Amino acid sequence: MTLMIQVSELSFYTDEGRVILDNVHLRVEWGEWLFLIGPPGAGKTVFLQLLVGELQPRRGQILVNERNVTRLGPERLRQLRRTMGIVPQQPLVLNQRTVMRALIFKLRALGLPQDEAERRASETLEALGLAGLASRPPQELAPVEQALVQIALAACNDPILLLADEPCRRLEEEGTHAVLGALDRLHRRKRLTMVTTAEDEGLAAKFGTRSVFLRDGRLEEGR
Amino acid sequence: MMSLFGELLRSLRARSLGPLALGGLALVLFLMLLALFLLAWSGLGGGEQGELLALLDPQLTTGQVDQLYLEIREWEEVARVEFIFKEEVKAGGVKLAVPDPGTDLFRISLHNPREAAAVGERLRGLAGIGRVIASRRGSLKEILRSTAGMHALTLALLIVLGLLSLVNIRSAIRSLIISWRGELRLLYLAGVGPRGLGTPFLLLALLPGLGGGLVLVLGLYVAHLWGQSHLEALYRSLPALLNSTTVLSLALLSLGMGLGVGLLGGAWGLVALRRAIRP
Repeated sequence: MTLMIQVSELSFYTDEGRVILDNVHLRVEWGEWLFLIGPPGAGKTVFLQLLVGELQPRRGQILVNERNVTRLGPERLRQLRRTMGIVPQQPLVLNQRTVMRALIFKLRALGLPQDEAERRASETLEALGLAGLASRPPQELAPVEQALVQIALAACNDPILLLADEPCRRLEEEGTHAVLGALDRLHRRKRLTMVTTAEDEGLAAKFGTRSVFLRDGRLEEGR
Repeated sequence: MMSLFGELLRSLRARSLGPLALGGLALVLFLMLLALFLLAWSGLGGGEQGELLALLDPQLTTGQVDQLYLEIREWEEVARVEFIFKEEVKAGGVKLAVPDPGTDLFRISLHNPREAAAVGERLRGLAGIGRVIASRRGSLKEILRSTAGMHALTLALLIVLGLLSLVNIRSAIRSLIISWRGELRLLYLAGVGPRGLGTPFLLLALLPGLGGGLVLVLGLYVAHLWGQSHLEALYRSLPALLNSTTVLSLALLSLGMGLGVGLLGGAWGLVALRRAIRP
């Protein structure tokens, strides 16, 4: 199978010399859903930031969809990001917009015509079970619904790779299952390649997907 | 980019309209003062103290004009008399603030400017003199050009108003960027570059500049038109305002300055963008 992500000899450490990633290797295939598990501060967010080119590694190569992220110029990097959906750990607060308008806002800014943007936004909300909340502002929604809106925002432009940084953070067990269930539906429906970070190593097993553990800067294959 | 600009405009009411409007207002005042100052310092002739323009009756024959010329030249208050053809003024050959006097005229310089009123009255009594336009002490032009204190005051006001408009435009753009943090981060992660994100904010910052510049252009145009029908009054206060070329140059300069200040304020506000799109 074709590789979506290929990371080799990746090292990253802070300016103070603290090692975050130490000679990391990872391969993620097209259509695969990978869980990146680790305790708080292990470097999961840094790893995702390296994948999208927001941070530069000290050493190593990162290939995403056959493009070397570490060597791409700003314009090429932006083009690559247009094929990705990113759910940041810190939820994005979009002021004075309903859920539907927030999605349309993003799609219009990416150059889609109004009718096409509306169609894609509706489809995404439908896929995530948010159609009934389209006309409400995200701030008025329950935490689990807000988490789903963040996923909808990342997925509405039909990315080929979805990176979700702790999408279930601060959610109860029921909420966590709802969010991961929605991601699972998205993954199956669009054969989307996904990397999801989490602290709980039991989550990946429940969804039958592959998981890797990030501990002390090193990646270990899960069970 | 235009959809983003449209969204920004729509969100203005609730967010940064206040400082942006204040910036625009300060900019209008800044441009007005600058225009007045430049008009007062314009190199155009006319409006000098002790100078009179006597417009001649078009029915006068050459001989009558000569006779009048010789008569006025002999007056002891008069230092110099100069005959000017109306065509010379219209073609710009003679630097006179009255752009189109409609008739030939005498430009009369006096030994003592204080005698301008008396000489003007005497000129009006002569047959063949249509209108007399005289400068007077205390005109706007003279006030603006008079003292070093006035120059310093004008300069200080210009600096304060310029800074006020810059700071307000910058703060409007900055607060708008901060309140749009979520949107900007979303678009940045989706592959929109800093230039694509910043341009709509810069366009927005240009609006008060464009508005201020256009207000000045309109104001100058109206003043110029008004001046055509109130020739004498304007000649006494700001004669350069009667000259179409000067007014057009000043209008373009105001527009350029307005846009420049808007651009500068916007670029200053955009410093906040880099922080807004970072995690």
